[in-house]
Amino acid sequence: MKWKKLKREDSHEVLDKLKSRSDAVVFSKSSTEVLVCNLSFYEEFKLYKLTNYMTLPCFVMYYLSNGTDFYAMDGTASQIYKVNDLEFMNLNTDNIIQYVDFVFENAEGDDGDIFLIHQPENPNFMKSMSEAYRKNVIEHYHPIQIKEDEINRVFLVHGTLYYGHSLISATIQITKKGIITVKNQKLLLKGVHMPNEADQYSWISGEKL
Amino acid sequence: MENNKESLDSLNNALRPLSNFEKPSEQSNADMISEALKILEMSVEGQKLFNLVGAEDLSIKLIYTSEDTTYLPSKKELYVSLSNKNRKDIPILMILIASLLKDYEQEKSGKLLANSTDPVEKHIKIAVEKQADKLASLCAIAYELDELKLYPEYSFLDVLKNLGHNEAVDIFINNV
Repeated sequence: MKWKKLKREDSHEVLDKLKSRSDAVVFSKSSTEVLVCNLSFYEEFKLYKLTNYMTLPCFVMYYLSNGTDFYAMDGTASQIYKVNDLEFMNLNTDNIIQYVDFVFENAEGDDGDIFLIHQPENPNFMKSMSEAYRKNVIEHYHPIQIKEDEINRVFLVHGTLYYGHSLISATIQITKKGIITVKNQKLLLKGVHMPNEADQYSWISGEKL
Repeated sequence: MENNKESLDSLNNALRPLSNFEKPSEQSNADMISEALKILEMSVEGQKLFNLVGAEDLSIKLIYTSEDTTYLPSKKELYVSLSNKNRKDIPILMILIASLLKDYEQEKSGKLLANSTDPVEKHIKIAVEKQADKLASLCAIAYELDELKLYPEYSFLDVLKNLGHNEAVDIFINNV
């Protein structure tokens, strides 16, 4: 994600708007940094990252906002779906993976984080594994494939997911309004421990079906 | 390969839109905090922290983010954040509230963080001291609650470990 730091007066404006909400979380102007990131699948809404550096540990909150309305990311996909209902969504085969990654980064399951594996060969992804396990992961990995089903008005992304310390091959169905459902799930490998920075990989290519 | 159906089902559960009924309300948050405070009060060490809530007229707010954490931005605003997977977990909430109240107690007694202009060494020294003091309290609370066996199926020390404090718990147990 490409974050841009807001100028002091712009961050104060964001904090003032947030402060006026009844459910506002307190962020002091003097110790809070506000970053913003454009999202290719939204026209108006952007992702805001607020960090208060004067607490231990630093406290971070993410909001989706069009500059007027703010939706706090709460660890579920629901807030994203709420924004999707308000926005004109620009989902296409070029940005559908970015959207899936965005939802997975912000929605956590009962068994923890969810990742779409982009590059199993990435040494950071593999570094906590034994040689035998690395071979196993590469053998079982299904590369990302994207298809737009125009009849049913959905996108289909076939690939390999990491969830609950397991690798799962699956078809991720995304409606035009961004609702995600995971289908055809097949457990490939159990007991995989993902390093913390695994979600920071960049997706470089996706083969179309 | 064996199919772990429950885990796969929970994947879609995490991605479906929540109904209004499932979304936390102010009342359900207040009930969870009240329940967690009741548990905290049952330990001698926890009771000291519990008493701060009434004595200082503190308001604890429960929010939901991607992390189980606490936030003390000012003297009267205390926040506890639960991640989605732990959004109904009272023992974790209790430990986080204890941690938050300990932060409050430290600030009240003058154990403040270093100033932004202070050297890095001072920041580290103060942060380590505050954290050690806090973890000692949390371990004592968890140990006491485990000893009371009020929740035989539950180990509060394990909850602390699950929150990443394995080393502190091991040191505490070895010194009891």
